[in-house]
Formats: sequence, C-alpha cells, structure tokens
Amino acid sequence: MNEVFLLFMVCLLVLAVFLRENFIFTILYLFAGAYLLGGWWGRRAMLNLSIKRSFADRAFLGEEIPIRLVVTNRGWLPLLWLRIYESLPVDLSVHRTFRQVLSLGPREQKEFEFSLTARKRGYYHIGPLIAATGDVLGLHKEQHSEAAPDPLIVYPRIIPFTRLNLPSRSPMGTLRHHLPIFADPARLSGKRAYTPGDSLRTIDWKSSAAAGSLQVKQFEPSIALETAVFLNLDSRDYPLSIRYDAPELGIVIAASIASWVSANKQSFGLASNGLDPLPSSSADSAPAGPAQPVLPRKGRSHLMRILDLLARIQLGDAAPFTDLVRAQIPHLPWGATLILVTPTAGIDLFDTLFQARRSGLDAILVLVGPNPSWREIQARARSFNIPFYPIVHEQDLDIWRT
Amino acid sequence: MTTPAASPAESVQANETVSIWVVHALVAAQMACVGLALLHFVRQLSPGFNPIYLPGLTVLLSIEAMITWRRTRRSTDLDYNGVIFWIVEWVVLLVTIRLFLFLWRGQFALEIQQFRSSPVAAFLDGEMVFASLAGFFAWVISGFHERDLLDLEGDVTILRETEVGTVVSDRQVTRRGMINRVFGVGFILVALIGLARVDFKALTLVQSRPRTDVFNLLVYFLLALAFFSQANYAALRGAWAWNKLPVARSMAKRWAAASLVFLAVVTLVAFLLPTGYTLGLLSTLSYLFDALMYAGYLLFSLVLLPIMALFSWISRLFSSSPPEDPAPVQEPVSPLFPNAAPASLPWLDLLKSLLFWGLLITVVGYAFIQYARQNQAIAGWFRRAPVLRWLRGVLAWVSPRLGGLSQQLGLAVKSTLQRLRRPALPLAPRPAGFVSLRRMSPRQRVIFFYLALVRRAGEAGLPRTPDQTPAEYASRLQTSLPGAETDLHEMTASFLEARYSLHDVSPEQAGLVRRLWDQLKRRLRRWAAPPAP
Repeated sequence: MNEVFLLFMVCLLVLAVFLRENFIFTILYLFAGAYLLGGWWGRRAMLNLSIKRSFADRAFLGEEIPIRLVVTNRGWLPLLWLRIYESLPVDLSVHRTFRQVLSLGPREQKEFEFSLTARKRGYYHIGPLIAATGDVLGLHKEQHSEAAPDPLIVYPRIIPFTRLNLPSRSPMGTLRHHLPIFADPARLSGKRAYTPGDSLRTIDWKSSAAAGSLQVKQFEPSIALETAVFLNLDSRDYPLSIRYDAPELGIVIAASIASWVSANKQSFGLASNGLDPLPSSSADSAPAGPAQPVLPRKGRSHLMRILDLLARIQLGDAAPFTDLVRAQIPHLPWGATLILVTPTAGIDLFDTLFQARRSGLDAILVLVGPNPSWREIQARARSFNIPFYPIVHEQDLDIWRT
Repeated sequence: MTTPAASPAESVQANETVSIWVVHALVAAQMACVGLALLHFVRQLSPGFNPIYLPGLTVLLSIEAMITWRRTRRSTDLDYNGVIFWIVEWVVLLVTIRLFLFLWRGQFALEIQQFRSSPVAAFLDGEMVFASLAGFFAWVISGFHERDLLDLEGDVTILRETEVGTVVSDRQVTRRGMINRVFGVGFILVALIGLARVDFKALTLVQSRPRTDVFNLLVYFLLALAFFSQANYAALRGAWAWNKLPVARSMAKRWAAASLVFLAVVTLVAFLLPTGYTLGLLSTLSYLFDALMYAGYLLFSLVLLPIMALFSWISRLFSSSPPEDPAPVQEPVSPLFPNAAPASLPWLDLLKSLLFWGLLITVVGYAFIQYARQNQAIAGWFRRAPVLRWLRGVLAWVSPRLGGLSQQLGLAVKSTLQRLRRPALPLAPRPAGFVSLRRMSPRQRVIFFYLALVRRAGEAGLPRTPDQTPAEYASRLQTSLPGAETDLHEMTASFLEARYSLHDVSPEQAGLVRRLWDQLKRRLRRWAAPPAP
C-alpha cells in the first residue's frame, strides 16, 4: 500500500520535471501532506489517550465485581477509531476479554461497565488493556498503548463458627475461663472477707474501712487465646485425587478459624508452606516465593491481611510441613494454641508437637481431606493428648457450627 | 457482561450502510471531476467544441454502472449471459446518448436529413464518438469500483458466521486494487492537463493561466484520498467483524466527517504552498551557503573587534609617531548583493526558492524515511549499503565524543549555576554573642542543634574524637545512652543531609531535630547527674 503511494509520488515528480508544470507540485504536496500528517495525527492522538480502570480490588466469594472503564481523549485531535482489548481472568468471566471499537471526538470521554463474578478464590489480574489506533488512510502501522493490569483478590469462603473449644494456657486475656489459676486482676468480680493466706495486695482498703474488717478483691479468671494456624500446602503431601479439593478445604478452614478468633478479639497468626504469587519485594519482576509467616496480632486489619494471604496462596513444594512448624514455634508466645491443618501427620510431626507442648504451647490437629490412615493418626493424637478433628467434607465442619 | 444499547449486528449494519452511501457518492463525484478534466482538455484541443454536458454524462453513466453491477451481482435468480447483457446494455446507452445529443443540439431537421442520407455516419459523428468514449471510460471505471465495493460489504454476514472457512474475504487485496485504479485514472488526468497546459503556453506564449483545471484536479485527488480513507475503513470493518468486535454506531459518520475535514485542510495547505521557483536547486544551495559564510564572518568580526581595539590602543601608547587615521573598515562583500541595487527584490525570490526547495526536499525526503522505517527490507538494504555504512561508522565515532563533550559542558554549566545560586553554608553560627535561631535557615538550625549535641555530650563526659565520623560518634553515644538509638540515628541522618547534600531542608525537619535535641539533652543530663544516695 505504501509502495503504491510512494510510487505515485515518484511518478508525479518525474512528470513535474518533464512537463515543468507547477500544479503537479501541488498534488505532490497534497499526497505527501496526507501521508505525513495522517501518521502524525495517529501518533499524537494516541499520546492524548487516557484510560482509567476502577473497581473494588477485594471481593468475597460469590460477589459481583463491577468494573468501570473510562476512556478519555485529552487532546483536540479526534481519535478516528480506537480498539480496546481488556484481558479478564478466565476463572471469573465467561469471556476472556472485554473488547470494543469506538471513536472519540476532541476532549470526549466514554465509559464502559461490565462485571465479573467472584466464583473462585485467588489472586487475579484485570488487564492489561491494549488500545490500538491507526491513521485515516491506513498507510502507517497501528499505534498501540497499554494500560498495566490491576490486581483483584477474591477471598476464600468463610464459614461462621459458633464455638471452637480451643485450649489455651495464656492468662490475662479477655475470654472467660473456669480455672482460678488464670485470675485476671483487671476483671473484678466481687469482694469477700479476708482469710489468712490471702495476698496483702488483694486487700481492698476502702471496702475494709467501710466494713470495719479486712476485705479482699475477687477476680474473674480469664485467658488470652493466642492462636497460630499452620496450613500445610505442600503438594507432596496431597495425593493427586484430592489435590484440588483438599487444599481448598484447608484454606476455608484456616480462613474461618482466623475469622472466628478475630471476632472474639483474640490474636491470631498464620504460617504456611504454600506459594505466594505476590512478590514480597516491590519489584514486579520478582518471582513468586514461599508464603511469609504472619505472627499473631489482633485486629480487623490483621484479619484482612491474613485473608489476603489465604486468597493468594497456592500449593507449593518449598519446605516440609514439620520443618515449618519447628521453625515457627520459637516465635510464638508461651500459652499460644497451634492449629495444624494438614492432609497427613507423621511421627516427626507428633514429636514436634510434643516438644511444643513441653514449651508451653497447645496444639490441635485438623486432618483435611480423606486419608486412609486417619485412624492410626487419631490413635497417635490420642496418645499424645492432642485434640484431633478429621474434616473430609465441608459438612464435617458442623461440629463447630452448632 | 453488559451489552451496548444496540445489538452488534445493528451497529455493524448501520455503519456499513452509511459507508456504502458515502463511497458511492465519492465515486460519482470523482467521475464528475474526470468529466470536467476531459472537458477542459477537449476545449484546449478544439476551442470551438464545448461539450459542457460531459461532467453530467459521466456522473449519470457512473451511477448507472454501479446500479447495474450491484443488481446483477446480487440477484441470484437472474440467469443471464454476461457478455450479451453488457452488449445490450451498451446499445441502449448509445441510443440514449444519441437521443440526448439530438435534443441538445436542437437541429432536428438537419439531423434527420443526415440520418436519412447516411445513418451510420449520422449516428456515430465526432461528438457522439467522443461523448460515448468518455461515458464508456467512466462506466467501466465505476463498474470495476462497484465490483470491488461489493467485496468490501457483508460485515453482518462475517459477524454472524461462526464456522471458519465458510466466508472468504480479503478486503486488503480489494482495497489495493481500487487504489491502483484511482491512481491510474489520476495519473492519466494529470498527464492530460499537463499536456494541455504545455500546448497552451506554446500556442499563446502566456505563462500563467487560470487555475480552474488545477482546482478540478485537486478536487479529484481530494475525493480520491477520501475514497482511500473509506476503503481503509471498509478493510478495518471486515477485520472487526471477523473478530466479533462490537463497534460504536456513530463510527461511519464520524469517520466520513473527520476524514473529509482532514483532507480539506491538507488540500488547502497544499494549494497555498509555493510551487514555483526562480532559482534552481544548486543555485539556491549556493546562495544559502554564501549567506551562512557571511553570517559567520560577521560574528567573527564582532568577537575580534574589542581585542583589535585593545591592541590598537596599546600600540598607540608605545608609538611615538602621531596616530594615523584608522584604515577604513572594509565591509565584507555580500554575496547576495554583489552589484548595485537591483531593480527587483532578489531576497524575495531567494526566500521563495528556499521555501520551495526546502519544503519539497523535506516533505519527499521525510516521506521516504518514514516509509523506510516501516519496511524492514528497505531499511536493511540501506543499512548494508557501503557508503551509508561508512557514514554510520563515522557518525558512531564522532557522536560519543560530541555527546560526552556536550554532557560535560552541560554538567559544568549546571554546577556553575548551582554554585552561584547556593548560599554559603556557615559551619557554625557566630562563635560569640547572641544566637538568633529565628534568623537561621532550617539547614543552619539542623547543623546548630547537632553541634550543640556534640558540645553537650563532650561536657557530659562523652567527647567526640577528631577521627570519629558522625555515624561512629552516634554508635558511641548509643552505648552510653540506651534507649536513645532512634533519636540519635535521626539526628545524625538529618545533620549529614543538611551539611553535605544539596537537598532542601524543610522547617518541619528542623523542628523535628529541635525536639530530638531536647530529648537527648535531658538524657545527657540524667546520664551526667551523680547517682542518688
């Protein structure tokens, strides 16, 4: 196409030289001007293009995620045609892309809306958006522009638990307990007469002055439930037959426990040997790596951070689960409760848990997914006095819902 | 996913319909321009012959050709032999043209008599032959255009087609064919008009003549470019339909309007640009070179003038003889005006010639460069050409040196300017007397508080040794003042930035350093205080 154009210009030039006619230069200017200005128009118009994408970057399972695209021509040159391709995650959308061809006048803006369904938990990218335009005569290559993708996190399903019966030895918490050994001096429950042996510090002098005899304060026992969930996502521990369902069930359990503990205003943490696709450094080119453990903390923002991690995390083959537990135990405070969510539990894991109990930690074992050796594991857990819960399907979680 | 207001098929159909009407109008208008050009040409050849109906004839025959082609191609129930059909059609058309000429001339009695005496000669007289040939030319071109335009339609069919291979369409090939045809016709018109103008000048010895025929030619090429634009749009439409892309409904109208406005602007600019030149290319370049040399000579003279004046004054001081009258300053001879004042304004001719050659070379050269950039084969050939390779080598040798030189020059200028702008940084305020913190800049205040810390720590028994850097001294202080690590680190970092960098120091930063100084001062006091009994 360009060859024909330029050949025509050359022929005009030759004709002009031969005929010595000035008007041929006018025609030459016309074609050269159309060629050059047409290309300049396309390039310039693309520079003035602005595309903004807005949507809520967090969603829970089952929610509709409306996405709004605003395409603006900031310049005075019209965009004759513009083709936009927006890549969408295949797990969330029926169509792989959002596509449209439009034209924009000077300073014109157009908006497009479409929505995705959060069908599956995960870490997704909306985009990149590729815009293309060309010149009016089609003589130049298309101009392309790209808008970087934006991340979207779909949280895992959270099952509301009513009670968990988690053991704890951490005193001075906010949860009531029956053992008087965990008396909390901040929680006054009443007063009684002094008996020899009572600590002098517990004497309530004001009441004693009013009553005329020594009175001592009585305190409510309470515990703090410092919880750390250990989620095993080592692909080597999951047989092929359950490699999709069981890890997802484990993630649902971990998310639900974290949510319950957070609702009870206790501190909780998460450690896993799964793969986190979001690089920990700011460099986009940094590869995915093992999930970083999250130490126990309280608060809603901490819960969201853990849910973010659970939304992103995938099966990996970094560290064996027992090594992970062993490495994290020293970072946990005395009295904390470990909840291990794993598809299998070998003797080395039980040894580690035994050592953890001796260090003042409590442990609960949740066996996720079908395991032919679950009776053996149950017997071993009983012998180590570790509460054991086999969860094969979601319905098995009813033990914590009633 | 939400869908646009109109269905994709409706939008595609609407766009295609608008485009079809526009492109047919363009073809008919182009044929009108062809008719006009032929009219001018014929008038030139034979001044007494004035077939003013020619543009109308070509337009009508163009429309007839487009309609006929469309109906015969589209109607699947027609069973006909193509050759016989066209022959019959042209018989009818010839008879129609003859009747029209008969009515046009108005010489009924004469024509009937001529027809009786010699029917064939009377039917096919000169005017009839010329008009028929012109009409046939327009008819054929329009017919071929219509054939190609039909290949550029069918967007909805492509859009709805789900199976691969059932619809075949190559609009780019069709587009190229149409463009070649339009160029061909245009080239013929340019040649005809050019020849006519040459003949006119030879006959009448008049160099300039009205530009109406040129204007007609410009309009033809403007319409041709609009036609190319529509062909490009049709090719894009096909691609969008293949990819099932939803298209905005107003696309076709906007495309037609924007492309016509763009081309009208380009045409106007092309019409106004200079096309004539007094001086040839080499003469123009020679004048340009001489003008540059003259400008350089003037500049050189200006630079040397004070030095020469100084030397002259010094030599006069030491000279015993009376000073001579200075030799008259010889003005450099302008290469542009070597003789006495010319009768006309040669600088205007030079300017016009410069403008013309400059524009022409720039426009044509840039177009070729852009083309070469977009075609790897040609770009590769240029890269491999020996002369150009040698030139590139020279350029590669020279440019880093020039670039390095310019970079160093830039850095030198920048640092000089910064040095001139930067206020002097006092290492410490006035040693004695009242120190007014308010008069100090934030940078000076940061330095002041840090030095105060050093002095107070020295008084408390933690002096700084001359070999210690601020960071080392901070580490030393941290061991004696546990719990003050963060404050010491912050203060040291702020001091280093204020003292050794060119960053701006904000008043907030100076305020923070002051607070840190207060805290550290208290710690030092506690540290230095004797222990309680």
